[in-house]
Amino acid sequence: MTSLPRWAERLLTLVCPSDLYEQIEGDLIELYNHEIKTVGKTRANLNLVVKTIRFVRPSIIFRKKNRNNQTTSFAMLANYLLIASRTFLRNKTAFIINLVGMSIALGCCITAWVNYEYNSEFDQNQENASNIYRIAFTQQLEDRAVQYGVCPLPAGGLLRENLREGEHLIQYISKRSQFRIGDEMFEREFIYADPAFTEVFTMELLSGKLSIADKSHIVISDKLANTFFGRLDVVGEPITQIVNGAPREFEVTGVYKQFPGNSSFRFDLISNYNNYFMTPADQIAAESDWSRWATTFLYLEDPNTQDILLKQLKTFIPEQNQARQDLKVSEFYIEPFIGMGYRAVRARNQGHWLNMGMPPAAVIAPFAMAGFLLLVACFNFMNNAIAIAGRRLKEIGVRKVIGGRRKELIIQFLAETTFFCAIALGLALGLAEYFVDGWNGMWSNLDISIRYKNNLGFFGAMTALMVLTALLAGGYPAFYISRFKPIQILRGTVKFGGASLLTKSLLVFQFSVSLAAVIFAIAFYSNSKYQKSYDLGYAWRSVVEVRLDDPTQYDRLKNEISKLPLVRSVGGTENHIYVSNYNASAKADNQKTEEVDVLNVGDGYFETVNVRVLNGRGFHQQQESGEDENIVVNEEFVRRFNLKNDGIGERITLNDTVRVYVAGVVKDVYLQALFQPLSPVVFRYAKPGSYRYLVVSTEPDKLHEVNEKIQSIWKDLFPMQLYRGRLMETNMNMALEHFDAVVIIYSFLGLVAIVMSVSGLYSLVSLHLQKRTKELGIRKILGASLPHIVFQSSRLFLVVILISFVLGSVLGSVMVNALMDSVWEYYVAINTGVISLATGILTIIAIATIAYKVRSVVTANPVDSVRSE
Amino acid sequence: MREFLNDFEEMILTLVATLGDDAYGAAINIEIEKHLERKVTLSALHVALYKLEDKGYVKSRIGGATSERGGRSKRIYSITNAGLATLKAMKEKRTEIWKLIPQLKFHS
Repeated sequence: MTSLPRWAERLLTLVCPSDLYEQIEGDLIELYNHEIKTVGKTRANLNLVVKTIRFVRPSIIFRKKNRNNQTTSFAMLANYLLIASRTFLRNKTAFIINLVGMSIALGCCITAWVNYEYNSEFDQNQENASNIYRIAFTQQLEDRAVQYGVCPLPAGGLLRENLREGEHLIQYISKRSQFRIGDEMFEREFIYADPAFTEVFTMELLSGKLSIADKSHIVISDKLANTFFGRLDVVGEPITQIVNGAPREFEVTGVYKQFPGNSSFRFDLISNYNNYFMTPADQIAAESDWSRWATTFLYLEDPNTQDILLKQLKTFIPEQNQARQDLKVSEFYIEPFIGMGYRAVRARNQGHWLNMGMPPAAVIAPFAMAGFLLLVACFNFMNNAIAIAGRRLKEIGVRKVIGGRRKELIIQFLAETTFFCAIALGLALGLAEYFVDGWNGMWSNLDISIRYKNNLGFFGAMTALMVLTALLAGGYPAFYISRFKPIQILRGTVKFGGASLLTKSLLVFQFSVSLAAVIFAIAFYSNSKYQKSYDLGYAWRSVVEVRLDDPTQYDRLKNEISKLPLVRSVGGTENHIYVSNYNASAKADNQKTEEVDVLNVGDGYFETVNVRVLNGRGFHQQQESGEDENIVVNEEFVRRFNLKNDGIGERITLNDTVRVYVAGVVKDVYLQALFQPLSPVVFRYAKPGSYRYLVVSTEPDKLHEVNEKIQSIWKDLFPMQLYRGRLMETNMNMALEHFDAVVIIYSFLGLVAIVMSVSGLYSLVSLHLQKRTKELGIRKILGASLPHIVFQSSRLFLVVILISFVLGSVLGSVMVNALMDSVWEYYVAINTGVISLATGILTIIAIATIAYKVRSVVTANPVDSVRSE
Repeated sequence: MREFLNDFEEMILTLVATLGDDAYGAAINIEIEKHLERKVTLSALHVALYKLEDKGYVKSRIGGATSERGGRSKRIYSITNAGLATLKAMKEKRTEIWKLIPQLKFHS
């Protein structure tokens, strides 16, 4: 052999000091030739590979070239920083755009990370988590199994007998309730739990003691104490609960710090479990009622106890299924507390009366968005670095001639990039604080904050982020730039600058991402408008709903409210659209059977919420037994059951037992807004003694006024009770708020991406035209017309933009459709309108950028451009 | 300040003294494997030579290129006075303590 294989040469060049390189090569070749004679060719080849690779060792890589005059690496580092600063200062605009873009992208990455951290630390404050379990069960439906995180009430006492010493069974019931402190009334989630709860679950004590052993004790959160008492030392203060209109007195025994947002628990008041029952007789009755539930936790220490309990639970199944025919248990199981919150949201647990973890999409989506933005920023940096390198060719050439090795150059460029990324990361940390605040504001019940103390994971993630970004942004430029041969540079024969395939591809990527983001924003915006104006079959925008404590309140309220001039109509009802309804199975005479949604509605309900009767009639007022047999259905019902004669007069059997007749058909009512497909709805007549809601209709712009008037009427009539009235549109708005959040996020991302893409385009166009000044000058002299020159100079980039628009449209459309489909049932799919609008906006921006630069070239005096070189 | 060498370095230093003008990487490698019947990695050998040069026990110069080396030059090492002195001192110390071994019969 006369020369080492190419890979060996490259490896050794990279690894060995340059003054030793040639001799090492020679030794390897000589040994190879020697070994061919002694051990044969194959062996010699193998040995060569091994020997070459063994040269990669620290003592060789880090061997200093000039062992005599050692320039300390510190001095070199300072040198690099100086050069880096000078480079940056010489190209200020590009540098600033780069820096800002990168900082924003990194800020988004930090936000995505903190969001993930928050979710992964769900319930982390619970110290006994590994010993805590919850009893749950599965219900087997035809096509799937549904999980419920609750357990029958009677099971508690029976299971407790089988626990060991030190183990606990804790029943936990959560119910919203009204309270009064002094003169103020409010409603909150109230917990009834066994006293062991405060021992088993970690609650941070702030004052008093966390004891709910006595029935009259109540323990409250610091948030509640501060809101209503203005201080934390409130032990001994009275709190009155209003139950069924009657007061029940409690005394505060302790105050705890409110649970963090990422916990299963979120309550402000907790007291002894026995308080759930009004009288001891009630409690005894309830504890043998297998149709009632409670969340049941277990604190276990002995591993065998689980099996014993499971066996016992199995014996409960028959009795439980007897009591609840509509919700049959197929299997009980005991699940660990750890991970409970995640499982609940992923499996769509139906009986989870606690907070849930975030849906996986909410954790992954931010990463995806931040990732795209970071790629755009890195590509921008790359394009910029390569473009600027054109001006640094001389520096590179001289360095190489003096003896700088390629390795050193690579390290220098990487160091510059890391320096830049470090600054960007510093800015990003500041920005992230704002981003996280904004993110918290967009979704309810989120209180994420960036934690610096004791958070090794965070610092690890930040370091990894910086290194990754530096490598991504600076890796290719470093290799590309350090490749130049010095002689070619100094001789001036290096063809440099202009748009290589790589830079064009990067630009395509940037513009595609920008377009996709804009498409997202526009699509969600137009959808928001569509959904807000969709006819759901009832007038949710002009109704005030009042929740009644008991049906007797209805008549008195109605009398007073009807006197108000602004009120158009008043109605009462047992169930209320979007808020409460129940299910039944329905069978028509043609034997078609389906599950339907049922609402019991009362007098005046249809008129007040503007459910429009199309055929037949609504319910007649105050009809007693007659109306029991009549139902009113929506159009979907008629369709599903293939009813003839518009359905009027058809006989329907509910739940296999109740015979009813269709008296009227109303325009389609969507019970679950646009989230679920339209379902067949049955309305039945609710007798006045069963009303739970009162509804009032008025002009849309008078809603608040009317609400306040009703509130004062309520206070006059029922001073001891909390007014629970609100605008019906509040329910709808909560569902729609997500739209606005998404529009904001994507507009922001789109804007940042566009700015970076435009800056990238601008610098590339400049570079490209710079190379062609002579050519363009000559064209002009020879008489080319202005449009022709414009076209000539920008032809290259128009192709780029065209491709990126196609890609971006595809990307954006696919993603938007997928996302919308997963959330809503009815939405405006991506259509050409949206795409054209987005593309149009971006095209204008891109062309303006190109035109701006081209204009300066085109209007230049051709003589100057030809003369300059 | 005299640092003593480990076994490997001592062996290499001795061979440099032995081979004279032929003391370069590949040759020393072949010598060790042939006569001393010991397996040596070329890279370990090179590193040891560099370290010896750092310590001042050998010095190097660029020698001739041959076709067996594909035309690459050799780096020829020669032992310095300091190196020789160290070798001698190490050998003397070793003989001293060797003599202290009690009652050994030598079969030679």
